[in-house]
Amino acid sequence: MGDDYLAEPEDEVTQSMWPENIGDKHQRQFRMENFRKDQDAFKDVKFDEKPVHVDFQRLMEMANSEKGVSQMQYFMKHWEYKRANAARLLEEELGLLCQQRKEIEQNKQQILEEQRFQDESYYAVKRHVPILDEVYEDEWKRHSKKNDDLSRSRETKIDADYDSVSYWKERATKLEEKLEESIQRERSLVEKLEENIKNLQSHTPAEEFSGMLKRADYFLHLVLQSAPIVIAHQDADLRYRFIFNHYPTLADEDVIGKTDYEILSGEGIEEMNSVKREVMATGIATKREFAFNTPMFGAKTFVTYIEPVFSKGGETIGVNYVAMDITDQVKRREKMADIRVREAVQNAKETELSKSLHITEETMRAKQMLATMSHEIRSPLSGVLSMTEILATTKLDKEQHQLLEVMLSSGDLVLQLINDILDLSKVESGAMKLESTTFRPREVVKHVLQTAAASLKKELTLEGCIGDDVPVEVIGDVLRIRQILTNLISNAVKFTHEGKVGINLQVVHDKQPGCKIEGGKIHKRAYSGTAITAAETAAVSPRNCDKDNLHCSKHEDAFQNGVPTCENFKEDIEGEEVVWLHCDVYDSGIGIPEKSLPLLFKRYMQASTDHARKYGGTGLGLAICKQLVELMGGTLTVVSKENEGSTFTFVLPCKIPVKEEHSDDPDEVHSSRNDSANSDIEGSFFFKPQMRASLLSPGVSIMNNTKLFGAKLMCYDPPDISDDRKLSSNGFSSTEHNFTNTSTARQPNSVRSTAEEEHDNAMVLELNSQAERVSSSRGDLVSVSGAAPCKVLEEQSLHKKSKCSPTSNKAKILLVEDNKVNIIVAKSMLEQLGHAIDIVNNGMQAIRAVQQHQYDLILMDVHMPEMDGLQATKHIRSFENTGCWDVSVKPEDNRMITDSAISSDCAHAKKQGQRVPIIAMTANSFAESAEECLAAGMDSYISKPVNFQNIKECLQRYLMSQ
Amino acid sequence: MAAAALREQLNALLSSMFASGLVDDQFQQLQMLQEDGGTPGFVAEVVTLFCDDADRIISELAALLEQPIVDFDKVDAYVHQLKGSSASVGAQKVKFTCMQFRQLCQDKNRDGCIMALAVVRNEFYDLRNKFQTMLQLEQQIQAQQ
Repeated sequence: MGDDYLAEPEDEVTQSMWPENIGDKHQRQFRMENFRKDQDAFKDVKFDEKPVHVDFQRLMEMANSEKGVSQMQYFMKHWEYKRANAARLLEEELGLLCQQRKEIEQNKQQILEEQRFQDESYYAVKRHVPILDEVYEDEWKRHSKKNDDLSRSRETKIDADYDSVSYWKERATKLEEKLEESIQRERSLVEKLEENIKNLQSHTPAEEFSGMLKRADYFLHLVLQSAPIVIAHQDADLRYRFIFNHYPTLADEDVIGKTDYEILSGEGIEEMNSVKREVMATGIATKREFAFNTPMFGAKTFVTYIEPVFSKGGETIGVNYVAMDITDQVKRREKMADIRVREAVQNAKETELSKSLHITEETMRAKQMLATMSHEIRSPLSGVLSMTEILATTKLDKEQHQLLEVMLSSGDLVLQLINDILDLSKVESGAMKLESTTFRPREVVKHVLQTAAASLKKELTLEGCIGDDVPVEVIGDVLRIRQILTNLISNAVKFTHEGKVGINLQVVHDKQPGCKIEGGKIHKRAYSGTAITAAETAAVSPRNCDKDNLHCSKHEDAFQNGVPTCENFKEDIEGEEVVWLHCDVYDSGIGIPEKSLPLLFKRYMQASTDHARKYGGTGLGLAICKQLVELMGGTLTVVSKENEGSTFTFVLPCKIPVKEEHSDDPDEVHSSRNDSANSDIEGSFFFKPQMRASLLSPGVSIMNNTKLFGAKLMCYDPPDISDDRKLSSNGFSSTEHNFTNTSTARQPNSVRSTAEEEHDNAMVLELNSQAERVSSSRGDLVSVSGAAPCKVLEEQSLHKKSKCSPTSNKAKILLVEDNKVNIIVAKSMLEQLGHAIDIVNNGMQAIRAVQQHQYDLILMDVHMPEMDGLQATKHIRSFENTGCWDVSVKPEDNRMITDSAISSDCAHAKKQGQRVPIIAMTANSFAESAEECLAAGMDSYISKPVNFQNIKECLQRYLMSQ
Repeated sequence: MAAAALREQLNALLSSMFASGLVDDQFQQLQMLQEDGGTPGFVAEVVTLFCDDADRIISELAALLEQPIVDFDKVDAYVHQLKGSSASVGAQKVKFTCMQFRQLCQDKNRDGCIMALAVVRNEFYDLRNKFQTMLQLEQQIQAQQ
């Protein structure tokens, strides 16, 4: 058929093989090539012509739709045009034929005329003029150009003589032949014409249409063959009337005549159908995406174009739709959206982060500023202080020494003040970090009172009382606790004009808030009166006096106090146990009006503006105290009555160090007590700043006397009823002198010992003997008030014994390391090996520790701030060799006040003792070579990170050798 | 039942941390210390301490490197600290990057240091995330029991 179509005569219009309804623009759109007529464009294309199942009846119906009509109209037009064209061609052909016929007729006429003429001439003029012949021949020639067959006849030659009869005859026959030929030609032309006409008739429009349609169909097939689309037509009931389905899941037979519901089930079908119905109802084409999830082809998304089909009458008779699978695209699109959302979230997070980063940076800058400021203020001050210290080492008389002492302590106070301000801001900014160190509460209390006494300018009694059940050593931030105590004491001193100021430290066994309050009340009552009888004191606060009792008879005391002694021991044994230290700082001062109490702990607030004017001060002290106490997990409360006094009470949790340490340390405490006769560390002790004042200014002897009176009063406090009574019955005069003597005798010694002891070890011995004398004299004095010193001595000797036979497997190790993480790891390992360890953070601290304690082994980090391990080792070795410390690392003065005896004791021990093994912990880096470590006097080294194996081996090696 | 699943998850996490070289034998030692020493929470304590410490050091380092004139000695000291800590907990990757960092400090190569800091920070954050997950899992296991 197609060939036929191509073989159509040279007709330019019909060469377009695409139905013309697609029109010019379509032609452009499809950019179809104009094939030459002899070419079969589809020669190479193989159509797998499938029987298409079409509801033809429906097609007819559709042909009646608007579109169908226009299609038909086009076909008609086209056909008509072609018909007209064919008719024109035929007419032309006919014209040509007519002309030929005419010529032939003319020819015939001529021949006839010639014949006649010949006949005539035959009869009249025999002469023949062959001019016409020539003309005819030309005429034929011209004509024969079109027809070769005819031209050949021109060649016929007449052999006969011209104008003879035979000639004419021959000529006549030839002409006859020509005529015959002509007639034949005419006939053939007619035949052809007829054939043409017949042919024309055979090209019925239907045939042409079907050809064209087939062509279009082929094209459509070709184009759509691999397109992933579904094209379908559905009638008004949404039954499929036609479908082109790329997907081979459904055969056409399964679809035609059915609705979507009958074919598929699942998500999306309902939606699509409702949209289709909507399209039919509104008559507006639409494009939508439908997400299907059917058992047949799973989850897929189709974009579907649905258009309504109208009948001629304008009513909707169905829909056409084209659907394309865009599942992948949708997935990609969703992925993209997801990524975009994540990106947005990420961006938001980033801005948030950068914001917080900014805040952190700001905070850090503020902290830096704080540090810089403290440094700026502190460094000149420390310059002054260190100069003073150096000055103290020069040759000075006693008076100058005392002055320097005060200078140093004042300097310390200023330093403290600066630290106060910085501390408060630190605590508030959350930058305050608490340090855990082992300390002795007794010493702390004593030291605080001592410091207060040093700067005391009033007739006040400073007293301290420490419950016997308070552990010798506890773990806590000693600096901060001392700071709190100093603050409270200095406040108390400031607001007390006569009477006393004191510290009462106890252990709260069951941390009951009721207990605490009760304690506070008791004290308030206790110090409310100026005349305190010892009996009353003993009655209301049994722990004030329990020291003496305890030493006399421990068990009795235990019953008396209602504190089971075993409890104390249990705590000790378990180690790392938390005790609650209850500390009262009381005074008999002006008190605080009740309405001012709430403001008391506020910053920059004092009880009243009057007070501020009168007493000065920043008003920061209590705020810092409260914050510090709370930071340590405790509470700070106050009870006060105007003109009677105030009691500040804080309760703090403190850890008790492990037992080994505990059993070791009292030794030193006791021995120190023994040496310096500071036996009053044990329970309660008193300060008579007057003594110091008298030494400072010997001229004011009258003052001195009155102060001594105060001192005596205070000394009544050691609460033994019998003693008290005795004293009061004896009258003041005799005992007073005794007291004065002993006090004066004792006080300078201790001062001397603090100042000079480390330079002159010989002096210590002398001091010790003096101290012994003092204690014995004091022992005489207090023998009536209790056998405490004797008991103490007894205990000490017991402890000494235990030290003589130490349990060798538990060595005491000093760990010197600045890195917290390393500390915790090493500590855990050492603890697991069963060793007791002390931890310090740099070389300087290591030296201090060595000055105070004896260690079996030192593990020393090399790279540390302040003083590195090599230097520290050198110092320790040099001390071990020479017996004295280098000037730069000599024990600090203010520490010596408390630790003088201990260090001197240690010094003795070390002098006689052996070399402490020092083991370096190196990071194996360029700065820390093993040779250097050994050269500095270290015994060995282990490389970091410390692991269980190498630390164990090392310890075994060095601890066994001892 | 849930505890077992959590434990499995924890083990998988730990073995992946070991496998990827994020932590090394030293970390195993810490775990052994915790188990043998009967000190539950020891690893958590060490890890938390390390994370806080490292975090602090990294921010210190960042601040130092931002200064117009970088104090390389200080930077070096901090990196040394970080290296020590990471070695102690067995944070291998952080340790290695610290070692490289120190080399760059020695060369006083500021840009290199900044880059190294970024690397250290990345490694550390990665590790910290893992550690946090680990601690959470441990806590959950604890809570289940």
